[in-house]
Amino acid sequence: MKDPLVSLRGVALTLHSNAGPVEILRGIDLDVPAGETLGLVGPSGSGKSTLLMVMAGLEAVTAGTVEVDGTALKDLNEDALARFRGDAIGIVFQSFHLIPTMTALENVALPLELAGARDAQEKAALELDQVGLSHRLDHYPGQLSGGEQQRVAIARALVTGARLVLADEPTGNLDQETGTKIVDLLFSLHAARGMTLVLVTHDRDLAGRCSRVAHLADGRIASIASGQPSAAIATAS
Amino acid sequence: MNPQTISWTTALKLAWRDLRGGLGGFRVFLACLALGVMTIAALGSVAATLEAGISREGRTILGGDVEFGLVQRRATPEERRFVTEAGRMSEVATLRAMASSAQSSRPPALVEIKAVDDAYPLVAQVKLAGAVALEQALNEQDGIHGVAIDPALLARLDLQPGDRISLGSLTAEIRTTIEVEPDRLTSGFMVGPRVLMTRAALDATELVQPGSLVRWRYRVDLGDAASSDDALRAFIDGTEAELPESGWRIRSRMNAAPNASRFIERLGFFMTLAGLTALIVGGVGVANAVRNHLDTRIATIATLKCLGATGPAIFRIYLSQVLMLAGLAIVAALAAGAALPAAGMSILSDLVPVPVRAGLHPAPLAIAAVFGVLVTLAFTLWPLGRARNVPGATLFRDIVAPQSRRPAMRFLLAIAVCLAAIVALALAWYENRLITVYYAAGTAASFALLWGLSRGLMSFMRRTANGKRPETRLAFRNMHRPGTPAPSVVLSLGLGLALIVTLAMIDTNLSREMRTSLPDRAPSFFFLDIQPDQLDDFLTTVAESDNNAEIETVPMLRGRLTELAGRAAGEINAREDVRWVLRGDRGLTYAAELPEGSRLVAGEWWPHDYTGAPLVSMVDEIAEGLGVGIGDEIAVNVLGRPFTATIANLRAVEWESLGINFVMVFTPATLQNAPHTHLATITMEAERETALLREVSGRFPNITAIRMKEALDTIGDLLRKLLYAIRGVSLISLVMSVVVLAGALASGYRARLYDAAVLKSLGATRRTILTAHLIEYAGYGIVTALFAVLTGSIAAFAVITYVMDLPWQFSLIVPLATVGAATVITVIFGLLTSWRTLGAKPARLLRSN
Ligand SMILES: Nc1ncnc2c1ncn2[C@@H]1O[C@H](COP(=O)(O)OP(=O)(O)OP(=O)(O)O)[C@@H](O)[C@H]1O
Ligand SMILES: [Mg+2]
Repeated sequence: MKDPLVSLRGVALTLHSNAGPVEILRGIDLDVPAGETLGLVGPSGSGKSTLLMVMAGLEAVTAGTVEVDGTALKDLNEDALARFRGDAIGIVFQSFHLIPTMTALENVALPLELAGARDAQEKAALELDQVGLSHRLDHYPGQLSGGEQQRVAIARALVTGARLVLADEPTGNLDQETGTKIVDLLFSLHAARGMTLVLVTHDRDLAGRCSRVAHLADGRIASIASGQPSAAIATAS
Repeated sequence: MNPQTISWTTALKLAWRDLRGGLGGFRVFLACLALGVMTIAALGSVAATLEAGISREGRTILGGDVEFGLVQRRATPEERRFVTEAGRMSEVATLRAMASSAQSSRPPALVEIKAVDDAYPLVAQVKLAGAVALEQALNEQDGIHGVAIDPALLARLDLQPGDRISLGSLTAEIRTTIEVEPDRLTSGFMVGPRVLMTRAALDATELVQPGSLVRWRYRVDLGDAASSDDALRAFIDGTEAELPESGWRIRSRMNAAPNASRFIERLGFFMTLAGLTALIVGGVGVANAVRNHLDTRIATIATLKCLGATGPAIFRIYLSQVLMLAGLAIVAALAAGAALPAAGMSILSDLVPVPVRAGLHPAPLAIAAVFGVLVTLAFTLWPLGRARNVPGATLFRDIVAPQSRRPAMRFLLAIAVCLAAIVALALAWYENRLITVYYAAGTAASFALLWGLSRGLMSFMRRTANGKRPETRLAFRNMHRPGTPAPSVVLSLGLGLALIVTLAMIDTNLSREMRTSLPDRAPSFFFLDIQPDQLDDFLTTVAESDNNAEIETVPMLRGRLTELAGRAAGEINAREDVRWVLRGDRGLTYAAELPEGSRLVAGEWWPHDYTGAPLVSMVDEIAEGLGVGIGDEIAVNVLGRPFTATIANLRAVEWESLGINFVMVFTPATLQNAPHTHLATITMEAERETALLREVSGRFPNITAIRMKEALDTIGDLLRKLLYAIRGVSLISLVMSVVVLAGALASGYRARLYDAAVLKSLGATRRTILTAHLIEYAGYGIVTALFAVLTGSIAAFAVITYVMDLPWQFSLIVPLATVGAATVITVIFGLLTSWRTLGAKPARLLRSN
């Protein structure tokens, strides 16, 4: 097994709400090897999204350590975390979160522009071509279908050459058929580039296409099982 | 690794893309900023245009390159030779006199005579009605001198051109009226209309006697010798070296009308403060607009954070957006402000008759722009500083609620720096620091008070929210729920109204003071230039006319303060409010007893029969402002002769009693033998005034009478015009308040729409909702107006009592009108917003949410 790209040790997270402290994550140990596809499943409220946020450095843990690509996230301040995300992590959301006043091309170029890259637009155009949207460059999110919007979001997550891609129910807002196409796209991109992919989903079939599937329950990892990655690749190609 | 932040170009690019959704909420931002900056730019440009007019037309206004002024004496042969040799010279004499006419039933009128020689005017042209040539209008025809007069005098004496007019021993023919007198402004504030005549005619009046107040002016056109300002300055310096004893006042085309310049500068400053107030009121709208805008961008900001944007990058993007829009508003405002003086000019042309020419004045525009940027920053750094804290995690949780966190300390510091810079700019720009400091403190206090008031109102409503009727409950809840317009409405409307109330209260107090308090206290006349040998006759005449008349006379000389405590007057750094004492001639007197209306506050009054070393008594406030005290020596120059005296005591005087008050009262022995005249104040029955005026001007043509009523009318007229101008500017603040108010109410529109839909679906009638809104808006109006009345009254009270030293009286009309107006304004604007709310169909709205 290769060096883990993501390494969680004893991760616990307690948030304080009006009704008192809520223990959301309670001692998570997890290694995600580089290049792996990991599915996260579990009942609603079990902490899947929170776990993704922890990996992205969007939520600071109460206890334990989080290392991504050899960097201990707790050593970074907020701005350093943001720059780290811009460099190493791509995020795909359930509700896309494209910026409505920017075209598809501009949305994809955005992380590059934030990082100060010169050829942002050219790279973005290439990336959009990869997700099959070279004919939609100048369309605004409002002019794109849900599936197209999610493809733009995937291009945006990958354009910086992210080593870790986090996807939170990427098909949750899409119909069955479109969802399958999006998943096919994600897995084929994974096959081509070999980045690490962590995927939250309620969909058993989708989870099954990952190399491993972690079951979350009540803030803990209840079990980890191997999926059928070969089947996934077969479907994708 | 990625850079700490993004470049400004990238920030600007992203900010620009962010605006593709439309200007939306920025409309109020643009309107507030543009209106405020335009006001400052326009007022500054008006003042600058006038000042430029004065300095450009300096030669015309002065009537030459340089003027040598003498009071009460003509130039000596030596002086005359000097000015004649310097260049083309014109001698002009001015004095006050009484004009009457056998063809008129009106009482004699005080006029300002100006006697000119053939060389007059050296520069520009006098324009007379009917295009009559000056020479034609003034020369002697068939043994009768001609005069050209101010049209106002025709009206006052009810005469026609061609009629005869008497001035002293002269009877002259009114040939025509004056349309333009190019050098009018040099005469300063004139108490009577102008009469233009020749030197020969002046001699015929026989009014020029020793001690009579004639000003002799010698204007010189230096030609090529003074083509540059430096050459002119060198000439003046040379003159002072050559004739150091003459004591004449030298004025050059570079400061042709110092009083007018000062007046314009001061007026410009006050107007700018009023404009700045409007801009600050608008700042509330600017802050609201940016806060609301950023609330709609929370998802975008969170997305940017997830994509690698740091806090500083977010700050740069939205700061550049705000600055880009501010730049747009400011540029538009400056363009309008620079173009507007043409309109503003008509207001000021009555006050300051200056030949003006349209032109671009960068200084006031730059000041307006800097104020605009500073106000923008001061009011937007708070929301901008908060926006950068929006966490990326927001996207996972779908809580797109406004963050109520305070921005980081350095943003609060930056805001403080901007506010300090606003004050510093105002301070640096005008020498009267005290007023600026009061203004800044007053504005800050009002802001703090209003902010506290809105918080108090909200927390009060929260605690009393369990009223009985549903309408009241609903209204109270609206006042304190998150995103309530309460703070913005109270702040913006409160400031605007407080300003209006202050001015209105000062206004009513001044008008009342002028109307009611004068008849019992004020004298009917001041008689000037009574020669010592005429005094007894004059007193008998008055007594014959009304034997109950109260008469008070004092000897009077004119002299200039030249030295104080061993330092030349020119080197004294006097307090702004007493600087006038050092300018030009002052009236001087002497007395054995402490004058009536004065109170000794320090030192001793001299004995009745004192004949020792010269002593002087000074007004305490003025001595303090000049930095002298008891024991210091002062020197005055009277008709070229120096007198020194030691300050023996200080007096407090009641200036508003309108009696005769002098800054300096000397011991009798000091000045008794210098040539002097007497000044008399007469208080008598009003219906006998006209008869006395005729009698005195008939028997003593050299004595001039200033009728109190007319003088006060003239001053009142000036004051009224000033008040109109200032009121006009404060009205802009009110307009601004309304813009801010409309913006604040509109931004709550969405929440209100949703509420109304929910309420309707729960069975509330439109009437209930409307009543609730009515109660809410009326609440804002009333609370704000009460504040405005309170602070406005305090401010007006302070100005009336401490600055103007007048009795204060609270007037009920102003507060009532304010409360009424504020309530009507808020209710109308509020209901305009509610109207649309009520029409909304609940089903459609709730489904889409
Ligand atoms: N800010 C917060 N304060 C307190 N509790 C929170 C906060 N955010 C989330 N939670 C709680 O943490 C728990 C985990 O939330 P999370 O969003 O990670 O669940 P999830 O597994 O992604 O659920 P779903 O499948 O519905 O998306 C939930 O019980 C949620 O109520
Ligand atoms: Mg979730």
